Amino acid sequence: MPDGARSHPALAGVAARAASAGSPAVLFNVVHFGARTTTAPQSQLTGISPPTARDKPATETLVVNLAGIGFRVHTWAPDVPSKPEGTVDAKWVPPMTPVINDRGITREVYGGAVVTNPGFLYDSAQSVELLITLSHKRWKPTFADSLMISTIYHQVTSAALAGEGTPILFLQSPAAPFKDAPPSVRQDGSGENPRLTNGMALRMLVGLDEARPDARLELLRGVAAVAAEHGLGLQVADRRFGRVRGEWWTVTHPHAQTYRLRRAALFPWATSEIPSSVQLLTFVGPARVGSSAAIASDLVTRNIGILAISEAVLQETAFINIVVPVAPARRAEQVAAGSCRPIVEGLGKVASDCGLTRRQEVRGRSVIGDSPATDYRVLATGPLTVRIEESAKRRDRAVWISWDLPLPPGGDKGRLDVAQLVLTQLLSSGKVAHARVDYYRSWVSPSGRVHGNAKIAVLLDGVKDDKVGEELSTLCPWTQREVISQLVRQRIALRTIKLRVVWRERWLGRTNAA
Amino acid sequence: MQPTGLQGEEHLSRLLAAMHRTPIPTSPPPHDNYLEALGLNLLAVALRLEHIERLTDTLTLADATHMTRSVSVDLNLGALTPDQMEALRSDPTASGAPPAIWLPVARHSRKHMAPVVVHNSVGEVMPRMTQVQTAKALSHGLAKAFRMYLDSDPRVDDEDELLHAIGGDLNRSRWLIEAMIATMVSHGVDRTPEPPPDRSRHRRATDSWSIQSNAEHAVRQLFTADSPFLRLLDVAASDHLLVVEVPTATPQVFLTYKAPVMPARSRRLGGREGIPGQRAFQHEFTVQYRTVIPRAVSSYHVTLEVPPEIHVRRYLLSSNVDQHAVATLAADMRAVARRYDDLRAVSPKLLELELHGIASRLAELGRRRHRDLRSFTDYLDRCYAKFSGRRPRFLEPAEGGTGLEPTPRVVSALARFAELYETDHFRKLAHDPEDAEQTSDVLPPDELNRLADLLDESDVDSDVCVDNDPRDNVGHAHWQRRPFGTESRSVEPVEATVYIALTPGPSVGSNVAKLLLALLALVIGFGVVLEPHLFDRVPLLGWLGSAAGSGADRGEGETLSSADAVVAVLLLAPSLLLVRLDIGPTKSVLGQINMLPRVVAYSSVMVAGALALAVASVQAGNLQVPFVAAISLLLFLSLLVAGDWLAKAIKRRAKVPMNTVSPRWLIAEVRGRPGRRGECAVAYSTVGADHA
Repeated sequence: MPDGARSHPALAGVAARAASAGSPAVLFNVVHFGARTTTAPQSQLTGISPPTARDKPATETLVVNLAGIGFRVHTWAPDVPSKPEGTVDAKWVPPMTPVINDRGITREVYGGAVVTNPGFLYDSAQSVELLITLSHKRWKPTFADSLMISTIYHQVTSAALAGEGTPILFLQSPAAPFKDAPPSVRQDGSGENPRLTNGMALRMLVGLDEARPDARLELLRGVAAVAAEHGLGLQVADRRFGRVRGEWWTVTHPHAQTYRLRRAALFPWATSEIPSSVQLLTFVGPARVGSSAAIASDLVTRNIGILAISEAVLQETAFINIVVPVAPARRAEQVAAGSCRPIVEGLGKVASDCGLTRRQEVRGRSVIGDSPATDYRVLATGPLTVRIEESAKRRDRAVWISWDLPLPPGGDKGRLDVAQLVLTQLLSSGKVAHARVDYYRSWVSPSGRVHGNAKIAVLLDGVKDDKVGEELSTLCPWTQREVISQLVRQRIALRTIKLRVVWRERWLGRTNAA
Repeated sequence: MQPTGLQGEEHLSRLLAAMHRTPIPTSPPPHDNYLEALGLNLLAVALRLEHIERLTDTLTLADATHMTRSVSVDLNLGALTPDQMEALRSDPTASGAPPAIWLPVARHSRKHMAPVVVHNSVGEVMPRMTQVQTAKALSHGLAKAFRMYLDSDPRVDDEDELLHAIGGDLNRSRWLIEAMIATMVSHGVDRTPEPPPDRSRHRRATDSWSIQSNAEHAVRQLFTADSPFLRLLDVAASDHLLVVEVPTATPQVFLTYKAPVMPARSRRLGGREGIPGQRAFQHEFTVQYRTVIPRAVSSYHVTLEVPPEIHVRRYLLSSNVDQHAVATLAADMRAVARRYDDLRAVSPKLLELELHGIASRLAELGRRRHRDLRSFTDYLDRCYAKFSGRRPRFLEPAEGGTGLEPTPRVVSALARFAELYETDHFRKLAHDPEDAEQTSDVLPPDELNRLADLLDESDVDSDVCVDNDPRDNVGHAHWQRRPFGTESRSVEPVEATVYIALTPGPSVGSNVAKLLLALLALVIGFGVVLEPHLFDRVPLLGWLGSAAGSGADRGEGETLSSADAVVAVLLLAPSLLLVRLDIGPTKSVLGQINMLPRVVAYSSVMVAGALALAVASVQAGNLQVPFVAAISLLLFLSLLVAGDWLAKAIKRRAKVPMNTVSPRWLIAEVRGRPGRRGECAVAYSTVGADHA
């Protein structure tokens, strides 16, 4: 619990917003998308209007896109006061228009309502950000790696929960790994190497109370112990005065041999094959401390691996999106389908499809029914095809953008999607062979402005590795200027536009999670 | 400040005490959507007060023990979102954009409530929400917040739990909880709650005991001791919000209101009003004024205007704006000191990161306080320029050193440390076995603990703003919000204290000296004429006496023949001079400052009068004794005046006020060593006696 003496204004704010909206619940939409076969084209979906309520923008949006599959989450407050039965009400939404031209792409939509938890009042300005690196190489996890990621997720969330009980505000894997640049590149400290967009790394933001420094030190000790045990690299956000997000302080470097030995010791029976078929899961419920630890512990108990995970808190509601590989034995069995179940039943079904060991070999009984995640729902879609090998062939670089614009009135068609504009502009430059939005997060404020940030994966055409930085340094400002001029041509006043396109994350100048 | 857990327990016990004062309802309480949204938004806006851009306090000393203040507030309605404006609208039944909204402008303690009238920039009176209406809106809002807590708790779905029953069938318990929230908000907080009555005899479910017991258990389950909801409830119950109806036509609104007259408080009198007796003969009149500034306010001005006969000698504003940052820094230092070797064993880089975080914040603190010190020395320069051509001498900054050596001059040391830190003098702060250069720890655990203690003791969280008004009888200080990095949005207001030292203008003192000099000359003159042999040994006067005395008409055994004339002159001259003296009534500020001149003036007039009496009644030849007595008394009074003048000259050159308002670091910097700090003669405070 945060210190009551300092967080009561946050409570007043949350309660006031809920009372003004007339309802203590938020509505949400979760979209799982992916391909059923390997030949289907890459799907690309961004935009801030929820599928079940296209006439208005969602208050908060999260989009994650990875190797042909992805998640899209929207939350907004309802116009008409409503309250779900119980704390979470979720259902699968049947397609609203008939699917005529099935190009092998699946899109499952789920909708529902979640009651706001007024006790979850964590200020993202008081937080610590950690970057845990399994390896600096491109993202190419095997089944054994997925089980390692599961274990690491479980240990790290338990370290956060142990002691003072700090919540996880944000968690993302794969993330862009960071390597300290050699002095020839760093020069006076300004130089940086371009980062790979997806590496075997996990990035998390843990909310903390400044009045209890012991909790922070305990957390760092716990996570450093996990990193040392598995040979992982650990980087902590630089806490010096005046630093912004994207500046990392290296505590340990990844040690590949230790990691390999540990992986072999823990999971000798797991194959080193790369999974091709996955299930997309989303756990949704009111945000509470300890819910991710409970889910993580359950997944580890049932030997379910994690390929990718994206966890975020949108309007005091937790969404834990996980990509789990389907067990090789059950790969070809089913047709892609979506389902929505309460957590105990849902995890049981997932375990039967994706548990990498037989039922008799699971490590313990599940206690998810008694945990803070007891009333969560599991939205599951699968099996879908994931193109890990294909995506690992390219050296995609990360480009970050952040924007703050007024929201033009009108439906989704009239609305400009800044991320799409930047993508189109990058592709039209002639130097970029391939670009895609990997991570997208936006907030619509009540005063009619939309601000957000996104990570774009960019593949430069025919450029040598050591010249990539220079190339990006000319490409990014050019893209920024061109997109701003396009927005001005669309009659948005220049003084109201704030847009940054950078390849060095700290140049965005963000100081907290927003 | 008490630890949070203890405060939380108190909040909980107060809430439960309110339960025993509330009759158990038998029907559901009314729910009003508009009032719920209004109450919660009023509370949310009143806590942060982010719409206030500038606050101006204009102080006037009505007399020595009473002060009035007039507050002007600059509001910016753009800081509110359209949803908030919609919820705060003052006409719930109309549609469209709200033409006027209820807006909280200030938060006062309920103990010091008095009617205030709020005016806008053209002088019109603005309507205010009554206390009853505000309490009603707040209780609706807090009841809604309680229902939100109940709905979102996972135990509500579990049929075995009490909370499931409270949310479902046990309606009267739930209504009781809502009613007790309303009671607590409308009736205020009972600081010493009575113990609940003993009712353990009854046991049936419909009994009031069982309903109350269920409600109590439900409250204890939902709200732990440090729950923010209890703190919010306490704020709503103990504070009074000044809510004004503000038109939304223009986004910038200007309001003024006159706060009620404040009496002076003096701790030496045990809380009574008035001024302690022994301060009657002081050389300056010191006033202390304490207030709170909402943290979101960008700019705060405090002005004091006094009549032109009084000069404002020193005017200083000190606020504890960095208190949270310094407290966090000290806590971090102690935590790292406790786990120093532990962290180093896990990874030396982790320890290095923590130490750099601490060092960078320490450097920033040093820079800030050094800036304040420079502005203070500039101010003293300006003060000295008014009466002297010489400049004040300050201690030279310490040469060399890293800034981490123990010294009473904390701020100079921290500024030196900041300079070195920014120029990479401290690349590595902890001993690294792999690095041959760094063989010792720069900040070992004892050093960290010593620095943490130093931060706590030397008041480095207090900044200093000085007077920048060039006029002699007006003091004005301007405080600006300078956030310490990206600090969390805390809502605790900033406590500001103003130190004012008032002295009489030069006119009064010199007039009294002139009066005394004139009387002395008069008396000596009469003495020379009437009793010349008194002055035989005095050079000039002896010659004058012998020259004048030869023509005097001396009759033996009678009073002086020209006694009438002498008496007339001795009585009229001082009275005329006294009438021209403007000392001021006793109770006014001027009167208080001029206590010594008043005593001197009246005593000298009395001496002249006594001499006149003696001349009129004593025989002509026996006037030596009265004249000697009168002259010696007048010389003694002149010595007093000279002594007073000397003391004032010394006081004028005092560099730093040795007062509890001056932060300890300032005193240590200017004097080179800490000193004992005294209290002001009178203290005024807008903060309640037990400020929560």
